[in-house]
Amino acid sequence: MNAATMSERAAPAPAPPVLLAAEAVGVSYGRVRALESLSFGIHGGGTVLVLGLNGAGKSTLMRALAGVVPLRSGRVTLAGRDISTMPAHRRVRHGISLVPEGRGVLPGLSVRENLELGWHAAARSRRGGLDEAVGRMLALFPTLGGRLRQDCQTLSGGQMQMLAIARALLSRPAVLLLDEPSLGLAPIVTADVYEALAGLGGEGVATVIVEQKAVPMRVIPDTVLVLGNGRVVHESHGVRPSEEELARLYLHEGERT
Amino acid sequence: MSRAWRARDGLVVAAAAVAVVMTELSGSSYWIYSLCLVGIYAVVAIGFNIALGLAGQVSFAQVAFMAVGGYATALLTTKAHADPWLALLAGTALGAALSFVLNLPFLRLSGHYLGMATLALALGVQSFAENASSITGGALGVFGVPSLTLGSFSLAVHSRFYVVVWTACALCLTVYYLTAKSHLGRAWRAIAARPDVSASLGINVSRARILALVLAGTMAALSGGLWALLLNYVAPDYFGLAMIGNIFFMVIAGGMGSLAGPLVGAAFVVLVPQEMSSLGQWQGVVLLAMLLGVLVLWPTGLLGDPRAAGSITALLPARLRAMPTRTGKAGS
Repeated sequence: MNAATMSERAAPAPAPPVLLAAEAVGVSYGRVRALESLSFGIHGGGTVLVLGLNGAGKSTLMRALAGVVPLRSGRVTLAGRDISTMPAHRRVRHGISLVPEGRGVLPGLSVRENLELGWHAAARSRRGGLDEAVGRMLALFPTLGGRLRQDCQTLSGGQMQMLAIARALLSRPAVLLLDEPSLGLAPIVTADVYEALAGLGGEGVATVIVEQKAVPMRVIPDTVLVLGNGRVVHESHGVRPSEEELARLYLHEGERT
Repeated sequence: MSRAWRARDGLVVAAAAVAVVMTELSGSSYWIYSLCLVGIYAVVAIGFNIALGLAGQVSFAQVAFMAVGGYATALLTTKAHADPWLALLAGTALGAALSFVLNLPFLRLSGHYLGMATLALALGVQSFAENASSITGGALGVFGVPSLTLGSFSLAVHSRFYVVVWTACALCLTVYYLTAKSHLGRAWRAIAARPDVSASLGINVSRARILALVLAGTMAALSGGLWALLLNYVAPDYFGLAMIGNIFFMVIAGGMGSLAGPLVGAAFVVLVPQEMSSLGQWQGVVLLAMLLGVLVLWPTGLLGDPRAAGSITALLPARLRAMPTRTGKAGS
């Protein structure tokens, strides 16, 4: 499979080293197999888009990469090191940051306190000054600017999503995992969110994005995986799947279940 | 919590400090003894405010660690003839150690399940104190606990012991204040708000939870030890369901996660029943009605952030809600 995709690529440049890799990863919830033998890799600054319907195993994949759910089989490596059994809070220190489905902002805590938690999660050597780090995020998401003291519950859905992403970025991730960032957002807000994400690759941050439907991504993902019933049903490299193709894949998936 | 509420919190603590000093200067033995009790209750409540108010850990086991501190102080002084100060310290340290060891297996549990397990532990410890008569004196308890002394200076006089109690209380408040505003405090509140996402924020959830429970257990044991030294006596019936109820009420009615909340809660729990003693047999009913009233009218506690709760008027039927407003016109 890898050889075929390599030959399809026009550029003969050597493939950059894989930063985060899932190798034949399987996850079960009790007897239910949520994910079966899933493999993919992402290099520094790269983008992987994971598509699929509800229950396809997308969130499970993200949770497995973040270390929130244990693997039943296979392994996850970060820069060649097996981190399969590393607890979630330590993975953050090592550069894997998850923006969970539904944003996961912390009610009762102010916007600033949410950001401080993210900043504190970064490895000490990479943290930098808090105010400067918060300032960087406010430049990226100006809408959060006047709201630092507000309880984050009072934010709009789009602002919460931006806060969740800003909080994750403050932990200085090498890999950012985004679980359905467009969920519940108006198309124009989704576009804003993706606009902010567009520059991350240039800074060397690898992003794995899970979505249900096509999203306004400016960069063409290095890899697109389409999941169905916990398995990869379609994989493409360097191309964006068309709406028709997705519809066909989803429909096909619907027939199988 | 917003700045305004934090400022009000500080004001209440300052007012409490003034009241504590004034009471000592007044020399009124009734009030000094009452405030000794308030201080001792406040110590356990401040600890529980860390576990429940900040970290969201529903643990009924505080009373068990209170019993550990009380019995350890009583037994070390009466049976081993240890210095009461040393016994108090040892009892507190034992409470810390036991709250670490006993809470470790509970890290697998949360919410109602943690509540159930810790309730079983609390009742188990009380039952042990009642039944292991050869060690604990059974239902009668341990008599003859000596009072604290400083050299030849006895602290048996309540106005002197009072200083010890309120110093301990100030120490606990300081620990609460410093941890609450640190990263650990934010991590606790994150765990209370969203335990599921806290780990992916780099928070070591198990470590933060056990730290909260151990701080709570330590303060509970200190409170138990002070209790034994004040009454010169411990008995199992102090450490039962009534005390569990008091501990929860002090923190919840005082205002979870508020600095001054446990002080207000402790004052309520100690002083209101005392002042109502003329009601005789109806005292319990009236007290419980007052407690319910506080909880319904101030669901986030007397010092909690009222914005976190729905308005009480929302409970009224629409017709009553449409009563004349301040402008004199009927509401729509």
